[in-house]
Amino acid sequence: MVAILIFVVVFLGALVALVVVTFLFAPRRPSEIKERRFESGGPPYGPVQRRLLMQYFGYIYLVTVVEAAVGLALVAVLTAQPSAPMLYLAIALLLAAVLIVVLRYFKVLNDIRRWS
Amino acid sequence: MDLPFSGDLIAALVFPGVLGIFGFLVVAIWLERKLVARVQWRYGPLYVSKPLGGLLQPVADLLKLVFSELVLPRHTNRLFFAAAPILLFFAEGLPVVFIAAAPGVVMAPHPYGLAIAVVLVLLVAVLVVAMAWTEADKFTYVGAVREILLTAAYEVPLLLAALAMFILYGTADPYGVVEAQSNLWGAVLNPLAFVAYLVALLMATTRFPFEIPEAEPEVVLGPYTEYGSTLFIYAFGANYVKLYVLALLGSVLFLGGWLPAGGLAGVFITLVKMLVFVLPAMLVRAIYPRYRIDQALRIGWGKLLALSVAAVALSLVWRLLR
Amino acid sequence: MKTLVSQAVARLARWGTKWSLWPPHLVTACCGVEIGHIFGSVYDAERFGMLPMGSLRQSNIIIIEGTITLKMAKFVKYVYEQMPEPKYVIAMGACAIKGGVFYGSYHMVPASKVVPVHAYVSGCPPTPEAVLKAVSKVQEQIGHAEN
Ligand code: SF4
Repeated sequence: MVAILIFVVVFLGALVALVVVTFLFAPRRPSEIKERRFESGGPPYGPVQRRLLMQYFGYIYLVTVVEAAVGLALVAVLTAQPSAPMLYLAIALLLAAVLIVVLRYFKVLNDIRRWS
Repeated sequence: MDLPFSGDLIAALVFPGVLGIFGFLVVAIWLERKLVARVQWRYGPLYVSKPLGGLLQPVADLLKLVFSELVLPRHTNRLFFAAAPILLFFAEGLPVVFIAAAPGVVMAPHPYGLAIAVVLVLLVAVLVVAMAWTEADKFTYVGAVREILLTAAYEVPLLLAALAMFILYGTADPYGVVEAQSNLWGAVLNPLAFVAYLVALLMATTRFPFEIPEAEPEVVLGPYTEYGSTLFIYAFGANYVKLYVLALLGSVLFLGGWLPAGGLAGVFITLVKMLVFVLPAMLVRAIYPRYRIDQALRIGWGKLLALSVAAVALSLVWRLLR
Repeated sequence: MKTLVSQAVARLARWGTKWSLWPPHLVTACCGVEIGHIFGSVYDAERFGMLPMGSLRQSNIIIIEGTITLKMAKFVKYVYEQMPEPKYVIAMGACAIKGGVFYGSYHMVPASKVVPVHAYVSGCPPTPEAVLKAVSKVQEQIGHAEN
């Protein structure tokens, strides 16, 4: 426990200390142009936020579901009794289901415009 | 033990801990630049310290960055702008708390330690996106979106590879995992999981074939574009810290950790084994072009998913045979 | 005591800056072709610690690559202004010095009128060796700077 505390304090302390060093010793000549948004060497133009391209959105849907399921499997494996064939069967079935779904909708997943 | 320091203090301050992280940053950047230069028939950094082969180059870079002006753009929330990379770097380093480098050299021995470490590694992507968002720049915006999509590509295979190994060993305790490999390494028992882990590692650290969020010709530096000075060290170095953590995790999960040695000699064995993950990650930079984001997604959810599911199946078979 | 510390810090900073000059991609004319050479296998500017950088926030040296037209001068100035503080400029090519083949043209500006220049390289285009020589000149300047 003490070790974790020492690690956190020393690590964060070192990181902050370097920033403080920069603050104290680095030359500073602030100007209005310097503090503008970086736009490849030109003056900033137009709004930053633009409409998101949603075409790969299917993957994100999928990852939220599959990841939760895999996480559950992880917890189950780690907390199970040493030999639990039923659990392994369940995991195998789960993964088979994931594979089937992904295989079935692989083409559609690639582009949301094919969803209908 | 009759050491002047106890093992967990060594872990906190020297090897998996603070000194190891910063040392890795220096050595890895030097190694990467030298190796890539070698492949491209160049010398790489040299004259900064000729007898050492330019080993001081990353040190010079760090000093340069520390002593260059810190610009906090006006259109951002300056507090978050300064805090985001520090938090990111810290969070990338946090999983080492639960990974053992040698018997006794671990900060927090925990029966589910390695599982916690994997989850912590996966959680960090949130901070990258948050950082890109605070910068509020066109390039960082695109970089953030790409980071989200790439995360969607590698998260499940990485988790599945870890799951396969946990099923195989029946535990996530670093000591238990290494003990289970005393006869045969995990990479031999389940090569599929090893390969899946390696590819997921390349994706997670956005190394070359998957260097999509910070593709230089497309989005300048992606999520790191706005940072200069010390904050750039943190923002950009965070990737190297992730590589360090994943290499350490991989050497414990797949390569038998500190075996066959014990004690402090085990630390060096672990270090050498980490090279198995670090060297390919450095070398692919010189060899491969970059995938498009949809290709990366298709790989992640196609071949890589199949590979990692097969790895879990292999582990289940091993488990039932035993 | 205080001056000693600040002197030591300044020396460290100068050493670091000297060996880590990162130019951004700013190509104004045909000398830019030569820049590829400088970072290529044969001349390899990375030996001197140079690393081409994408963003201006991290870079600290501009290599002005040839002719600056009036139109481009605005951007050169802007790029220079947006770079963080210790920053250096190398003007490359006859065009950047005085106009070269475009000498006397209505639309070209010598580099020294746009940004403060630390080293000039002559030639049309200059050979990569000449540019590397200028780089090490700049390094010497940084190393011997006072304060
Ligand atoms: S000096 Fe020669 S090569 Fe360079 S920009 Fe001028 S004309 Fe082109």
